[in-house]
Amino acid sequence: MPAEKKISAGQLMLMLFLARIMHTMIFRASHSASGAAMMLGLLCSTAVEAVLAIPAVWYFSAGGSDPIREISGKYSTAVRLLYSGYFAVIAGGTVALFAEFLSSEFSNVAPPAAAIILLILAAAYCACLGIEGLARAATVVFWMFVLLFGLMAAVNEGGFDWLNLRPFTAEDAGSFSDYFFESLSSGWWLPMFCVLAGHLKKGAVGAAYGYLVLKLLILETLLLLVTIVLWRYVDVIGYPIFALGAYAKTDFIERFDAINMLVWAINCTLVVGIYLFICSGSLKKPKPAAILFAIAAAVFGIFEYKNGLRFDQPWFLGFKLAGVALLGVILPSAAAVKLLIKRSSER
Amino acid sequence: MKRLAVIFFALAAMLLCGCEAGEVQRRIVVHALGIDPLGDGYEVSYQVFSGGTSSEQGGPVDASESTVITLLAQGRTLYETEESLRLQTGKEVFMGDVELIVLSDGLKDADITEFLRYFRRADVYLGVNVVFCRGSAGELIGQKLNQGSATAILLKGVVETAIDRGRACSSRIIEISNSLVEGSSAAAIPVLSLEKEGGESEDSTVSDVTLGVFGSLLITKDGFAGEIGEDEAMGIRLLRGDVKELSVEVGTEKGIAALELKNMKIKRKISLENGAPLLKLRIDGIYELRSSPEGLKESDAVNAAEKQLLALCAKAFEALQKTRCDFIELGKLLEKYEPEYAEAQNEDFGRAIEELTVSVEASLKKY
Repeated sequence: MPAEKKISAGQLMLMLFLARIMHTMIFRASHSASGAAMMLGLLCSTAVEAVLAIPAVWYFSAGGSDPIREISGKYSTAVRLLYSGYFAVIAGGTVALFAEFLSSEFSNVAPPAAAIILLILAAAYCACLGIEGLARAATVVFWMFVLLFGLMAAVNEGGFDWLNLRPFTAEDAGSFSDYFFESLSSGWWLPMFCVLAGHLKKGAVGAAYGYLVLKLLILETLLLLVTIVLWRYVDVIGYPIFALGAYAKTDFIERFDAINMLVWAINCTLVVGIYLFICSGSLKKPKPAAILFAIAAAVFGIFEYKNGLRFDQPWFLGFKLAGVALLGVILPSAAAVKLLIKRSSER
Repeated sequence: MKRLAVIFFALAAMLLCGCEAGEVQRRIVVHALGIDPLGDGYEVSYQVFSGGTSSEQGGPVDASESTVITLLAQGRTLYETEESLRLQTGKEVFMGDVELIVLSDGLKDADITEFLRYFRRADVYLGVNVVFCRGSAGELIGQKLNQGSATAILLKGVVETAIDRGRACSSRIIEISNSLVEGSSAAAIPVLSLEKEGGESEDSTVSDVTLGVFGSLLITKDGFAGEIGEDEAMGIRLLRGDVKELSVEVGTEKGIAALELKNMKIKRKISLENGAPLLKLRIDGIYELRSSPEGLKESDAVNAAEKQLLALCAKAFEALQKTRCDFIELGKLLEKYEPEYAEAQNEDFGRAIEELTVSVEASLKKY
């Protein structure tokens, strides 16, 4: 059954952006790199993503609505299960890292397992509300994030030390390639796009490339601020956005920790909700499917947290990259080729 | 179903976060820390709010002089002193409100990075200044002074004014931490001193002890590297190009003139001259003549002020050569503008400091 066309390009762009920024929020910097190397790594990975997105974007702009059905026909349930499994793992990893952030940065919080279960429950509820509800919520959460980010940057107490922004040298090549691959492996917006773009009223090009421009703009700004204001101290704090808030203060907001926590928790719920919504598309009844995959994500999240498995470990990087390549590039490319052949034969 | 879910999440939101008045009562809010060495460990003076009816009931905290007390705790590590305070008071220690950290100068050889790590873990705001003091930090905190009791707010005010007026370098936790990352880079940490005023006061209610920042200690990641006075600290601020305002008093044949320098803009440029680094400094600013002895031409006072700026830079340069510590960000300048030369130094800029020459130009215009 074709997906209902319910959301606008802007809403899809914001949903993709929130998923990416959630990853940046909870991704603990485990190595120091010079700002220029990271900024260049992000720029290059975004350029590569722009190229990788061409097949999927073309498919939807050419009138295609379901690349999975296009390529797999009656076996589409099996392929959809691949997408569901991938996003259940991503959802589990997201809540596990969020629980790690909670327990490492705040004292006296609920046990991580309880936080994971509660988050997943709330996210499953969001997923059951459907794509329209998720898209509307994404607009609200995006403006909350922009407001918080702008405020933290504006009232930051540190001065801008441009000396921290050193030119890129041969020594930075290692940091550049590490960050390039980390950034590229965080490109699971491509498989997300393949599933969610079917719900677009119109504007697949705007949603995909608008997302890339928005991501580049905000993440480059973040990297620049972190480099010229916080410099090496970000290694001590670990979480770049949190670090930005740790050095900001106003007369009426002494600490940004609690506000950060509020926005992160809401964003985490929404983003995991979107992942579970994607998972729910693989079975005939979406609501029981969302609950089933929510349980799987919770179990995986708790397992990952307890065993200290992290998104930045090589196996996970490989898993994420493989998912991006197979579900975000190869499958939509095949669907695009099939659509192209179909159109040619029709003529 | 929808209603049930809304009720569940609303209840979860209410029950799983936030704090009630009782939790405030169970916390001890630290406002300043004074750390002294004690045998193999430390004695820490915690300036805390003793609490008022309002704060006990969860209302706003009253930080006035009358509600501030100092508690002592000892331990082999800072974590142990915190635990000791917890056991003494039966309350959780809250460090998020700390305004200033004072280290006794007896700790100048201690591992500062260990303290910084502790402050980070203890949730101290990373914009808090860390200063040294002459003698006991415990005695300094809460001391009766000319200016009033040495509450955290007063001590912080004294330190921040000295920094704002260019008489000491900023020493926030984040800045010290970043300074101690690399080989020879150093942090110039201000020293708070109590000065006893001469003469007996007839009024016993007025203290004859006054407080101020009168110098700085240079600390590298390997420990204490030297001591500098107020003039050298002002010179460092000029060489680092991070001073906006300065008040200078210049001695002339006709007497002392006072000038207020504002809107100072300092341009730094580094280059290699015959294989050695040359730092060119251009200081521009506007002046306001505050007082001038009779018969002294304004232009002479300005010339004298410009010479004084050069003299301050010369003093800082002398301290730089003597200590071979990079407290002017020379390493960062070289890494950015002369990367090949910087790479050859292998993160130790001692030789670069030895080879460095500085050329300074100053030009002041009327306000």
